[in-house]
Amino acid sequence: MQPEEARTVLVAIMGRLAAGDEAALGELYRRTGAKLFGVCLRILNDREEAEDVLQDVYLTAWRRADSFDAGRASPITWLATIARNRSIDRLRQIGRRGGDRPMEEAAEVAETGPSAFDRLAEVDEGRRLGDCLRTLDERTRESIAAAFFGGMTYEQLAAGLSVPLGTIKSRIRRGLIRLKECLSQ
Amino acid sequence: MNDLRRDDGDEADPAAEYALGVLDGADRRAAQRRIERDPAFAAEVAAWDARLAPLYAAIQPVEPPAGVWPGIAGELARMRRVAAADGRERPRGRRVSGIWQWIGLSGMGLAAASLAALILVSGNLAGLGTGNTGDVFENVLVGTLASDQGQALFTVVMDRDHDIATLIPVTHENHGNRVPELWVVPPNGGAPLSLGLINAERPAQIHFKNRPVGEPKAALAVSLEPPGGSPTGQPTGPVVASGALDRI
Repeated sequence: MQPEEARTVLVAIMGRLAAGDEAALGELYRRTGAKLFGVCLRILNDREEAEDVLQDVYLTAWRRADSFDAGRASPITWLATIARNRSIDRLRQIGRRGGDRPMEEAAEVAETGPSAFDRLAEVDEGRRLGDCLRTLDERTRESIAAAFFGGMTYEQLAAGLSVPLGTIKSRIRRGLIRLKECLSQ
Repeated sequence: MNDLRRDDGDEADPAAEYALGVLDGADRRAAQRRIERDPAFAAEVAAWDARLAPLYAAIQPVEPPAGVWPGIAGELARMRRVAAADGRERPRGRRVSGIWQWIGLSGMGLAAASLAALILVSGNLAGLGTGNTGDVFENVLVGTLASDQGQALFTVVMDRDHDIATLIPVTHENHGNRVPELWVVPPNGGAPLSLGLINAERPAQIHFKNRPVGEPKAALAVSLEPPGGSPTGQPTGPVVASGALDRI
């Protein structure tokens, strides 16, 4: 199925969900469950926690379907954002600190950066974001990737990448400002 | 190393930092509270979510275990059974019905974690002082109305001896040109009943005589409505807070 077609199908499902159609939740799960489980698992790195959060994500989607606006976001972005935010909330709740994530794992998260960005070229917005990310220096790009894909705080990033907290903060803040500028051009 | 350049345009953009996910627990919760009350900030976060969204393409799908969907379906079915047992007709498929049904059904199960903290407050409000809570508070119901994300927005104390509900805003909300309206949702998913418009800036007392709100296990919710209140008699706007009422 083409991305545009898939999006149209999901928008229709979201409309039924907002109207209280429970069968629509099952269809939504069948079409998006694997993607969202991948998101939860990527952030939480723990299958049981990810399963728990995934269940919560779909019940949240059911509850909040009224607030979904197809004019502002694609359904999969809306859902993935809920999944990632709920996963990060859980991560903060269970109080995993930087030290609990082995250093090499933090580095590994960072290393997924550039190769992960290559895959972005498959869609237009992704190509633009990939191009803009490539204008950043490598360390900034990797720090942003580690934050996005690892759900890591500034403190955890600083510990994992062995740089001072102030350095990682300013690196990411500058990177985000440049990213915004680049994407607005 | 470019560390010496760190003053060079590295101002914090909390919306971007929240969307990226780098904030720690306290800062993250502060950002979530701000999303609830500051529409401009919420829009900035949404814009950042959209900018970063293509990154999700880099995350490989992983088939979830077979047990997850039955868990979700079971939770929905539980709610359906409760609604059927109640024998009421379900609200029609209006855009707001899903969440209102949810509030009615889950209200009784909502954790009342902060109720203990409210005992003192309700005691003072009811002029009862503190002391033996067993009988004195027999006719006092309390509840916390929280946002979707768990942020407490109002605490409610219902004095059933005097038919007065006292609503205390916990955080100040800016709702633009819309006004908060208070609703009671009967247990088991009946249609919401309006308790009137409320002032989100200061404590308010609402007389609820002749309104069937004194039931324990009822849920309360606040929706945002046009000035003057809901034009239809049923909630039309988004729900910003909800919670269950129960005895102390």
